[in-house]
Amino acid sequence: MKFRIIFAITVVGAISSMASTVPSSVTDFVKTHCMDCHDEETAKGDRSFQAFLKAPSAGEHIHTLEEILEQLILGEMPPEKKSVTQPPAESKRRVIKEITEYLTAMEASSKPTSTVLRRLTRYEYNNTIRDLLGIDTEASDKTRLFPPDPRTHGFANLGTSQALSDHQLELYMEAAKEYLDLALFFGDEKPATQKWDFTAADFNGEKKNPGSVRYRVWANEKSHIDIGHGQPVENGPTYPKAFARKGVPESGYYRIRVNATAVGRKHPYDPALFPNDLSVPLQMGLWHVPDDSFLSLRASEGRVLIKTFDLPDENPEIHEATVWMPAGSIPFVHWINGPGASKRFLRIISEQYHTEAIRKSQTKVDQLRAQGLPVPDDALVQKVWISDVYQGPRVRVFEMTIEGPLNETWPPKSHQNIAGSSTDVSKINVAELLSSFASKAFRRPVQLNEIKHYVDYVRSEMKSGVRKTDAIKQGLSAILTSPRFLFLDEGDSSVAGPLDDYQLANRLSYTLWSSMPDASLLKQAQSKELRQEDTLSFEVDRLIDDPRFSAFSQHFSDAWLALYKIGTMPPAGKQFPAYYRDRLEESMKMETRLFLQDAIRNNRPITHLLNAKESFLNGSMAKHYALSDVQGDQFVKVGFPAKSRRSGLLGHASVLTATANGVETSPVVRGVWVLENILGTPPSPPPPDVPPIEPDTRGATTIREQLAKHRNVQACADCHAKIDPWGFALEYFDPIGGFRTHYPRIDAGGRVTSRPGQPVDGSGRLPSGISIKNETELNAQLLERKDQFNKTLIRKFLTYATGREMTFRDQEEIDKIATDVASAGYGFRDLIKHSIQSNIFRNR
Amino acid sequence: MSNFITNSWKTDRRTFLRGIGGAMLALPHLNVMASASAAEPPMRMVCVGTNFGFVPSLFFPEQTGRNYQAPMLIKELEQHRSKFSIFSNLDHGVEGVGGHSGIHAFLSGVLSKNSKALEEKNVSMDQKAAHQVGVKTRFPSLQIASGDDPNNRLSWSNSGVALPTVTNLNTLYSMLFQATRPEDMDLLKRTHLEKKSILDLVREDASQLQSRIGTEDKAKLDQYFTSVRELERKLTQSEAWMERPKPEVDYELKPGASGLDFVDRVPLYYDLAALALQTDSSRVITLAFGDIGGNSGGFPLTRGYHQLTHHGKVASYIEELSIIERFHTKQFGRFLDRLDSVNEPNGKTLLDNTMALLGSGMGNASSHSNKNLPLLLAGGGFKHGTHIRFEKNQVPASNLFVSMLQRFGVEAGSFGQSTGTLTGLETA
Repeated sequence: MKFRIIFAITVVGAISSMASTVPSSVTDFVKTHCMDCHDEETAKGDRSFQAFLKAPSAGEHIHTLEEILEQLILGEMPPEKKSVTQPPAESKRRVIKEITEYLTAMEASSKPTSTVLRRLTRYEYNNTIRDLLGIDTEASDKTRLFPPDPRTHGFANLGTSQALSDHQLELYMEAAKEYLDLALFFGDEKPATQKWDFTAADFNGEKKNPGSVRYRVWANEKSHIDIGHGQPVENGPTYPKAFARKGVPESGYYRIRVNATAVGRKHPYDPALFPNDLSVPLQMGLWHVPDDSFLSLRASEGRVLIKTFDLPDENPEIHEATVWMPAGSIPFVHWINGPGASKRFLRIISEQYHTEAIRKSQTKVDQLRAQGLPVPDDALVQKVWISDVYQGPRVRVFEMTIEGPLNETWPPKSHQNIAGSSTDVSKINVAELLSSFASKAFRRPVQLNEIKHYVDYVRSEMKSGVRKTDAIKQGLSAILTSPRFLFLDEGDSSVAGPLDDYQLANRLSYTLWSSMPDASLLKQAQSKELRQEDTLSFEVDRLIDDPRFSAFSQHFSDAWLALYKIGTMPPAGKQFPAYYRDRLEESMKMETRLFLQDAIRNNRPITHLLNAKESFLNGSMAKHYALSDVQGDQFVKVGFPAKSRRSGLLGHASVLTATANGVETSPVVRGVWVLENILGTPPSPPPPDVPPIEPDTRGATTIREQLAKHRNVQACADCHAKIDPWGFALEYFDPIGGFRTHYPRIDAGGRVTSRPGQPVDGSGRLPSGISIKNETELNAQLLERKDQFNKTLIRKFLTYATGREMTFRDQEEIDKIATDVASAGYGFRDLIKHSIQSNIFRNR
Repeated sequence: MSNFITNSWKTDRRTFLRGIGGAMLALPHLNVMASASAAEPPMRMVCVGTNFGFVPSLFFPEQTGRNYQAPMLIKELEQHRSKFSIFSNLDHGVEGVGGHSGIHAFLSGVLSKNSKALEEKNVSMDQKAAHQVGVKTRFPSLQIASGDDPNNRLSWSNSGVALPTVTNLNTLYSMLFQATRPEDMDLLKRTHLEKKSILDLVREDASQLQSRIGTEDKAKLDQYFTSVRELERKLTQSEAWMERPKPEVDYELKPGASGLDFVDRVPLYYDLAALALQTDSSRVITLAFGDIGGNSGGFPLTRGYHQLTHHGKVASYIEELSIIERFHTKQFGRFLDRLDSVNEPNGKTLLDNTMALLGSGMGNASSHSNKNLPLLLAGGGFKHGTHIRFEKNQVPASNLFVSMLQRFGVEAGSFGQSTGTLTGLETA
């Protein structure tokens, strides 16, 4: 019963084409050990294997094999009775292995070898809208409510796995309408550029602060406002208060200037009171949000970080940024590398340095009175506030100006893209507008008769009294809800022939840009040049060198390296404060993206991905890696010192975080990751009903000791011997990728104590018999298997590019690509180019 | 210090809820919109799921039968002992195994990724029930969550898609009880019409596409057609309800309720769920309680919820964890109080006519085990008051779901991996 669903896919269609048969050792085993009870006559438990033995490889017997496998793994059959002879352990294990292999091959063979109609993923949809309409879909993301795209082995773009519901269809409709409202300016005059000047008094500040969670105090006749709290995801933004009710009047580009400085970085208090790093400049984050609901406490998704500014000490300067904002947006500032909530340290500072600022509480006064002690009349009056005397670090803001919409072109580019240079709707020819838009949206030429129903609809709406602008927008919304827009048209999956030129152009741009083809790519398709090897190669180079290629490094690393998992199991804040304080989550992903981008653009050998002694880091990542020579938020290329234990992807914090669960590391998960994503040999899933390891949170026993116990169980031993050693070697890296030589010891408050726990032991014996001590030796072993890695990477790339899983029928072609890549020197760009020239990519 | 915090949230919540207590009792005069026969009120179903489950030793009694000794978490519900049953050793077998990623299989019994080849995909039990209700209520079902957690949604459609949740209390309140302003109504009607026209247009494109693609593609495109049809149906349903006034309730929700801490929000979700049942706005409600959010959810905790669930049997961790878990069973008990205080036309209480399930797709969060799921069923007119322990790995949890679906009136002989109805669970 339990395997049914996993293998149910097998039954569909594939059996006939399979040459593979059930090995005779399996049928021999069944004959010897099962038939006493499971012959036609006895048929214990209603199971007779007679029919199975007659034609073991027939499709209808798959379930029988699944059942047999399950019972053998569970150890339930043959039953442990005196009358039953147990099969030798060795032969039982061999049969389990053979049945598993057979069933796995059957399952693999059932996977389609041509891509099944696939829908744009959420990010592909947004990028396509961005390029089609010419609006900023990040600053104004209308897809926030879309259901997440299901991932299969990390990939979100596989046709077979995708689903669609009425709910999502409705969201597509609504998003299209909202995006079109942002893009079109029918009937609008060029809006005048306005300027708003805000002084500190216009911000949401306070005159005095008694030591609260958020510190926003006006000073000096409200000439400035001091912000004394702050964290990367801000709970208490500072913004022009009255302005926030409506925000900017029009969508467009705005110039924002903020006059600000840092004060109090050098202060008279105990430095340990501030959890943030005051050895670096105070930083002001400038953000915008689509409306004032995003300024509330718990909002975070949907805010857009415009820029982070380093603030010089005691030196007010104007910090400037220009950004596109949708109508209604509000900018806010905060102290992005601040100390978090201000309450705790303000209380301690009051107690230790400014006792005059402590006010007696009502309870205390009542207590004193009850005890008959004297209480002055003004005991409850706060005479000195902590904000009157506080000298700690703060971000000081003097004023802010917003200027816009700047509208250097009118109508804006987005309007021009769709409707040309006029905003006068009466001049619009409906049929022309719709057919030109549909050709772009459907990403291939569209004949007028294919979209006649849209034209008719818009005209009939107009006749019935709907304003022409609204009728046109409805027609356009419909086009953006059409399956021809939402799905990638790649021809007929049952033919599985070569893609036509437009289909090839689409596959190429969705692979390398996660977006629609641009005009020049479509031109190559139109002239049927694209299918020429030279042209295709030229276009691949052009797309890789385009800024839009950053989408590839992002989404391919999310899928291949499983970086999409980062953030789903957030690390414990007390154990890993830097993770939140220093915004490591985004930064670690960025490191890997930039690293891959660099490797591809410079055609570095794929071995570079394993042994690079360099990477791309910003200040906080460098600190995380215990390197001191980088400051600030900019990512720069950094060479690692020779003694550094980090090299290649396996030293990336992103990979090490994605393979941990936020609280502890698991050599099993990391071992499986290496086998699956580097070596391309994923182990079989654990047998059912094996109790998972219950981790020891106190750190009294090491994970190695716990796994050793696990391995004493024979059912587990075989696989874990293959998995664990690869993971043990990575134990020197903690759940967020920090280097360690000892496991931590956690105190009762959840914090790491200064006394270290058990020492880390990274040694293990690989199935090949070779012993390794740590990640360095692990990397050496992986480098020896670079041809295996080469094939894995090709396979992963093609899965991503074609939107289908590779099967054993693709193996021959993959081997051929691998040979070509090897003889060209293993370059990563070459790997992509050879893969794209292959039949796997060029065929449906 | 910790005392201070405890007191503060308790006081806050009480103050906040003041004046609500009587509201529920004063409600029976409400018009129950769609239940035509006043004598036989409809059966309702409420499924409550937590992301991290419960510590097994604090949830499952040692003894079976009626005279079990209530463990810590069950003690919080003691007043309803005769009105609920506890089941142990029920789970979804290997089909529900996936650690944190097994949570979404709580009500479906199968992981989303393994359901692609199934006819009804990983449809969840509540949605099977909702389908039965159809247009009889304003909302065929309500999916409520304390925070949106796209990876851990509990309700799944029969096309294998996780249904969206409402997390904002104020939104939920206005959906249920706030009358639409006339000017908004015009706009709403207009939007509905537009949407329907768009559906007609894109259906034509889909037909064009259909003529030149392969069989497997057609299955995908069928999903598109189904979505078009379903959306049309939904739009028609909401048009039908648009004109009918929403029920009036004597219940005030503070405008900022959604910004409250977890401990203060949870009772309010339950209040609104109870009111939705009572006014027959919906008969199927699913509540998902995930992480506790900022400020430790308002609990006196020194560690995060997730971190605490990795307690590795350390007593101090379990103690802190039990603060949250006790809160959950206590609030569920309070919900049962409310249901039981509402009299229904057939002389029974709302609780008798509501199957209220409390559980999780996580069996033991410390070991990431999805076996032996915590499951507690209250009300619904079943014979209750016992702890039934099944033989390990023998009975799928789906058997419980079949019993519930049948009780709901769905003619379902099976659900997911079920092998029948649940032995030992009988109607009173």
